[in-house]
Amino acid sequence: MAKMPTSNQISERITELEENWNRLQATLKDIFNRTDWTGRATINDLVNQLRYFVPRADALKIAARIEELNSLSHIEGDEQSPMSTLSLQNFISFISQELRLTSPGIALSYNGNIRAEWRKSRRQHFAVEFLPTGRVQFVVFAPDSTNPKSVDRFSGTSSAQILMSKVHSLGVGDWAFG
Amino acid sequence: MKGTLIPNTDHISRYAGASKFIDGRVTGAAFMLRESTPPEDNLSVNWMEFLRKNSVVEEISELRCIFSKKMTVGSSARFVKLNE
Repeated sequence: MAKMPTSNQISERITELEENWNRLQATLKDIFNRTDWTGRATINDLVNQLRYFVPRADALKIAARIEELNSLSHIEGDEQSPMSTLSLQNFISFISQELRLTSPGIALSYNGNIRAEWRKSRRQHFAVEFLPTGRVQFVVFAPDSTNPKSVDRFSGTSSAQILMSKVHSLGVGDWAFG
Repeated sequence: MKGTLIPNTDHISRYAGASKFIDGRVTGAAFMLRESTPPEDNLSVNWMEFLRKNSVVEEISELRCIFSKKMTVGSSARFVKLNE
Protein backbone atom coordinates (compact mmCIF):
# COMPACT_ATOMS: atom_id res chain seq x y z
CA MET A 1 0.00 0.00 0.00
CA ALA A 2 1.39 3.37 -1.04
CA LYS A 3 2.18 5.89 1.63
CA MET A 4 0.12 9.07 1.65
CA PRO A 5 2.37 12.07 0.93
CA THR A 6 2.75 14.59 3.68
CA SER A 7 1.49 18.11 3.27
CA ASN A 8 5.11 19.26 2.97
CA GLN A 9 5.71 16.83 0.11
CA ILE A 10 2.54 17.99 -1.68
CA SER A 11 3.56 21.60 -1.22
CA GLU A 12 7.06 20.91 -2.60
CA ARG A 13 5.61 19.08 -5.59
CA ILE A 14 3.23 21.99 -6.37
CA THR A 15 6.16 24.40 -6.17
CA GLU A 16 8.17 22.19 -8.51
CA LEU A 17 5.29 22.02 -11.03
CA GLU A 18 4.81 25.79 -10.85
CA GLU A 19 8.51 26.32 -11.52
CA ASN A 20 8.38 23.95 -14.50
CA TRP A 21 5.32 25.75 -15.85
CA ASN A 22 7.00 29.15 -15.48
CA ARG A 23 10.15 27.85 -17.23
CA LEU A 24 8.05 26.43 -20.09
CA GLN A 25 6.14 29.69 -20.47
CA ALA A 26 9.38 31.70 -20.47
CA THR A 27 10.87 29.40 -23.12
CA LEU A 28 7.80 29.68 -25.34
CA LYS A 29 7.75 33.46 -24.91
CA ASP A 30 11.43 33.60 -25.85
CA ILE A 31 10.76 31.53 -28.97
CA PHE A 32 7.86 33.80 -29.94
CA ASN A 33 9.94 36.93 -29.41
CA ARG A 34 12.99 35.66 -31.31
CA THR A 35 11.04 34.34 -34.28
CA ASP A 36 10.59 36.57 -37.29
CA TRP A 37 6.89 36.02 -37.90
CA THR A 38 6.70 38.35 -40.90
CA GLY A 39 4.71 36.68 -43.61
CA ARG A 40 4.82 33.30 -41.84
CA ALA A 41 2.60 33.47 -38.81
CA THR A 42 -0.99 32.38 -39.14
CA ILE A 43 -3.89 34.24 -37.56
CA ASN A 44 -4.06 31.41 -35.03
CA ASP A 45 -0.36 31.84 -34.10
CA LEU A 46 -0.87 35.55 -33.54
CA VAL A 47 -4.07 35.07 -31.53
CA ASN A 48 -2.18 32.64 -29.27
CA GLN A 49 0.65 35.15 -28.92
CA LEU A 50 -1.93 37.73 -27.87
CA ARG A 51 -3.73 35.33 -25.55
CA TYR A 52 -0.69 34.02 -23.68
CA PHE A 53 2.06 36.60 -23.92
CA VAL A 54 0.57 40.09 -24.07
CA PRO A 55 0.48 41.48 -20.53
CA ARG A 56 -2.95 43.07 -20.72
CA ALA A 57 -5.96 42.29 -18.55
CA ASP A 58 -8.14 42.33 -21.67
CA ALA A 59 -5.88 40.03 -23.77
CA LEU A 60 -8.36 37.13 -23.72
CA LYS A 61 -11.27 39.40 -24.64
CA ILE A 62 -9.34 40.91 -27.56
CA ALA A 63 -8.21 37.45 -28.71
CA ALA A 64 -11.82 36.24 -28.73
CA ARG A 65 -12.92 39.25 -30.77
CA ILE A 66 -10.10 38.68 -33.29
CA GLU A 67 -11.18 35.05 -33.68
CA GLU A 68 -14.78 36.19 -34.21
CA LEU A 69 -13.75 38.71 -36.87
CA ASN A 70 -11.53 36.13 -38.57
CA SER A 71 -14.52 33.76 -38.82
CA LEU A 72 -16.74 36.55 -40.16
CA SER A 73 -14.17 37.43 -42.82
CA HIS A 74 -14.60 33.96 -44.32
CA ILE A 75 -18.39 34.16 -44.55
CA GLU A 76 -18.96 37.75 -45.62
CA GLY A 77 -18.58 37.06 -49.32
CA ASP A 78 -16.18 38.24 -51.98
CA GLU A 79 -16.46 41.88 -50.89
CA GLN A 80 -14.48 41.00 -47.75
CA SER A 81 -10.79 40.07 -47.87
CA PRO A 82 -9.44 37.58 -45.31
CA MET A 83 -7.93 39.07 -42.17
CA SER A 84 -4.38 40.33 -42.84
CA THR A 85 -1.76 38.64 -40.64
CA LEU A 86 0.57 41.62 -41.03
CA SER A 87 -2.14 44.06 -39.97
CA LEU A 88 -2.93 41.87 -36.95
CA GLN A 89 0.76 41.69 -36.08
CA ASN A 90 0.97 45.49 -36.30
CA PHE A 91 -2.07 45.79 -33.99
CA ILE A 92 -0.74 43.30 -31.42
CA SER A 93 2.61 45.04 -31.35
CA PHE A 94 0.84 48.38 -30.78
CA ILE A 95 -1.41 47.28 -27.91
CA SER A 96 1.47 45.38 -26.31
CA GLN A 97 3.39 48.64 -26.06
CA GLU A 98 0.50 51.00 -25.31
CA LEU A 99 -0.63 49.41 -22.08
CA ARG A 100 -2.32 52.61 -20.87
CA LEU A 101 -4.95 52.29 -23.60
CA THR A 102 -8.25 50.81 -22.43
CA SER A 103 -9.84 47.89 -24.19
CA PRO A 104 -10.62 48.88 -27.80
CA GLY A 105 -13.65 48.09 -29.90
CA ILE A 106 -12.41 46.17 -32.93
CA ALA A 107 -13.78 45.88 -36.47
CA LEU A 108 -12.38 44.67 -39.77
CA SER A 109 -11.90 46.81 -42.87
CA TYR A 110 -12.97 45.45 -46.27
CA ASN A 111 -9.33 44.83 -47.15
CA GLY A 112 -8.84 42.70 -44.04
CA ASN A 113 -7.09 45.23 -41.81
CA ILE A 114 -7.73 45.50 -38.09
CA ARG A 115 -9.52 48.69 -37.10
CA ALA A 116 -9.50 49.59 -33.40
CA GLU A 117 -11.62 52.29 -31.81
CA TRP A 118 -11.63 54.08 -28.48
CA ARG A 119 -14.85 56.03 -28.18
CA LYS A 120 -16.48 57.80 -25.28
CA SER A 121 -19.00 59.88 -27.21
CA ARG A 122 -19.57 61.39 -30.65
CA ARG A 123 -17.15 64.13 -29.64
CA GLN A 124 -14.46 61.86 -28.18
CA HIS A 125 -13.50 59.30 -30.77
CA PHE A 126 -10.15 57.77 -31.74
CA ALA A 127 -10.01 55.14 -34.50
CA VAL A 128 -6.93 53.47 -35.94
CA GLU A 129 -6.60 51.17 -38.95
CA PHE A 130 -3.46 49.03 -38.78
CA LEU A 131 -1.89 48.70 -42.20
CA PRO A 132 0.20 45.64 -43.14
CA THR A 133 3.21 47.93 -43.65
CA GLY A 134 3.51 48.79 -39.94
CA ARG A 135 1.92 52.17 -40.50
CA VAL A 136 -1.53 53.31 -39.38
CA GLN A 137 -4.36 55.48 -40.61
CA PHE A 138 -6.11 57.31 -37.82
CA VAL A 139 -8.98 59.68 -37.11
CA VAL A 140 -9.60 61.72 -33.97
CA PHE A 141 -12.71 63.66 -32.96
CA ALA A 142 -11.96 65.80 -29.91
CA PRO A 143 -13.68 68.71 -28.16
CA ASP A 144 -12.36 72.11 -29.15
CA SER A 145 -10.74 73.40 -25.94
CA THR A 146 -11.47 77.01 -26.92
CA ASN A 147 -15.10 76.35 -27.79
CA PRO A 148 -16.64 73.33 -26.01
CA LYS A 149 -19.61 73.27 -28.41
CA SER A 150 -17.34 72.59 -31.37
CA VAL A 151 -15.56 69.38 -32.29
CA ASP A 152 -12.08 69.24 -33.81
CA ARG A 153 -11.50 66.52 -36.41
CA PHE A 154 -8.07 65.22 -37.37
CA SER A 155 -6.98 62.37 -39.57
CA GLY A 156 -3.74 61.16 -41.08
CA THR A 157 -1.21 58.40 -41.44
CA SER A 158 1.71 57.66 -39.16
CA SER A 159 4.03 54.95 -37.95
CA ALA A 160 2.29 52.83 -35.30
CA GLN A 161 5.30 53.25 -33.00
CA ILE A 162 4.91 57.02 -32.70
CA LEU A 163 1.15 57.34 -33.15
CA MET A 164 0.36 58.02 -29.49
CA SER A 165 2.94 60.78 -29.24
CA LYS A 166 1.37 62.37 -32.34
CA VAL A 167 -2.21 62.32 -31.00
CA HIS A 168 -1.37 63.05 -27.35
CA SER A 169 -1.80 66.80 -27.77
CA LEU A 170 -5.32 66.21 -29.14
CA GLY A 171 -6.43 64.94 -25.73
CA VAL A 172 -6.93 61.32 -26.79
CA GLY A 173 -5.57 60.18 -23.42
CA ASP A 174 -8.53 61.88 -21.70
CA TRP A 175 -10.86 59.12 -22.86
CA ALA A 176 -8.68 56.36 -24.30
CA PHE A 177 -6.42 55.81 -21.28
CA GLY A 178 -7.60 53.79 -18.33
CA MET B 1 -29.04 55.90 -60.94
CA LYS B 2 -25.32 56.54 -60.60
CA GLY B 3 -24.70 60.23 -60.07
CA THR B 4 -28.36 61.02 -59.28
CA LEU B 5 -28.72 63.86 -56.79
CA ILE B 6 -30.68 62.77 -53.72
CA PRO B 7 -32.83 65.43 -51.99
CA ASN B 8 -31.45 66.49 -48.60
CA THR B 9 -34.67 65.38 -46.93
CA ASP B 10 -34.33 61.80 -48.21
CA HIS B 11 -32.30 58.92 -46.77
CA ILE B 12 -29.69 56.48 -47.94
CA SER B 13 -28.62 53.10 -46.61
CA ARG B 14 -25.52 50.97 -47.00
CA TYR B 15 -25.20 47.23 -46.65
CA ALA B 16 -22.46 46.10 -44.26
CA GLY B 17 -21.37 42.76 -42.81
CA ALA B 18 -21.18 42.08 -39.08
CA SER B 19 -17.42 42.66 -39.02
CA LYS B 20 -18.11 46.38 -39.53
CA PHE B 21 -20.00 46.76 -36.24
CA ILE B 22 -18.83 47.11 -32.65
CA ASP B 23 -21.45 46.27 -30.04
CA GLY B 24 -24.18 46.94 -32.60
CA ARG B 25 -22.80 50.36 -33.58
CA VAL B 26 -21.62 50.84 -37.13
CA THR B 27 -17.99 51.90 -37.56
CA GLY B 28 -16.18 53.87 -40.22
CA ALA B 29 -15.00 50.55 -41.68
CA ALA B 30 -18.44 50.17 -43.31
CA PHE B 31 -17.94 53.34 -45.31
CA MET B 32 -14.67 52.46 -47.00
CA LEU B 33 -14.64 51.26 -50.61
CA ARG B 34 -15.22 47.51 -50.93
CA GLU B 35 -12.66 45.12 -52.37
CA SER B 36 -15.33 43.29 -54.35
CA THR B 37 -14.91 42.14 -57.95
CA PRO B 38 -14.89 44.60 -59.59
CA PRO B 39 -13.79 46.87 -56.71
CA GLU B 40 -16.05 49.79 -55.81
CA ASP B 41 -14.91 53.03 -57.37
CA ASN B 42 -17.62 54.97 -55.56
CA LEU B 43 -19.36 54.35 -52.27
CA SER B 44 -22.49 52.30 -53.09
CA VAL B 45 -25.62 53.31 -51.22
CA ASN B 46 -29.36 52.75 -51.63
CA TRP B 47 -31.87 55.60 -51.96
CA MET B 48 -34.59 54.61 -49.52
CA GLU B 49 -37.44 56.86 -50.71
CA PHE B 50 -36.92 55.61 -54.28
CA LEU B 51 -38.36 52.27 -53.16
CA ARG B 52 -41.73 53.98 -52.43
CA LYS B 53 -42.50 51.90 -49.34
CA ASN B 54 -44.52 52.92 -46.29
CA SER B 55 -42.04 52.13 -43.53
CA VAL B 56 -38.39 51.45 -42.83
CA VAL B 57 -39.23 47.80 -42.21
CA GLU B 58 -40.73 47.52 -45.71
CA GLU B 59 -37.79 49.37 -47.22
CA ILE B 60 -35.25 47.06 -45.58
CA SER B 61 -37.28 44.01 -46.57
CA GLU B 62 -37.30 45.19 -50.19
CA LEU B 63 -33.56 45.84 -50.09
CA ARG B 64 -32.95 42.32 -48.74
CA CYS B 65 -34.95 40.94 -51.69
CA ILE B 66 -33.00 43.03 -54.20
CA PHE B 67 -29.62 42.14 -52.66
CA SER B 68 -30.39 38.44 -52.33
CA LYS B 69 -30.86 38.22 -56.13
CA LYS B 70 -27.25 39.20 -56.74
CA MET B 71 -25.40 38.04 -53.61
CA THR B 72 -25.71 36.08 -50.37
CA VAL B 73 -27.11 38.41 -47.73
CA GLY B 74 -25.49 37.41 -44.44
CA SER B 75 -27.82 36.67 -41.54
CA SER B 76 -25.78 38.98 -39.32
CA ALA B 77 -25.28 41.70 -41.97
CA ARG B 78 -27.23 44.94 -41.68
CA PHE B 79 -28.47 47.90 -43.68
CA VAL B 80 -27.35 51.16 -42.11
CA LYS B 81 -29.74 54.07 -42.65
CA LEU B 82 -28.21 57.53 -42.84
CA ASN B 83 -29.39 61.14 -42.75
CA GLU B 84 -31.73 60.72 -39.79
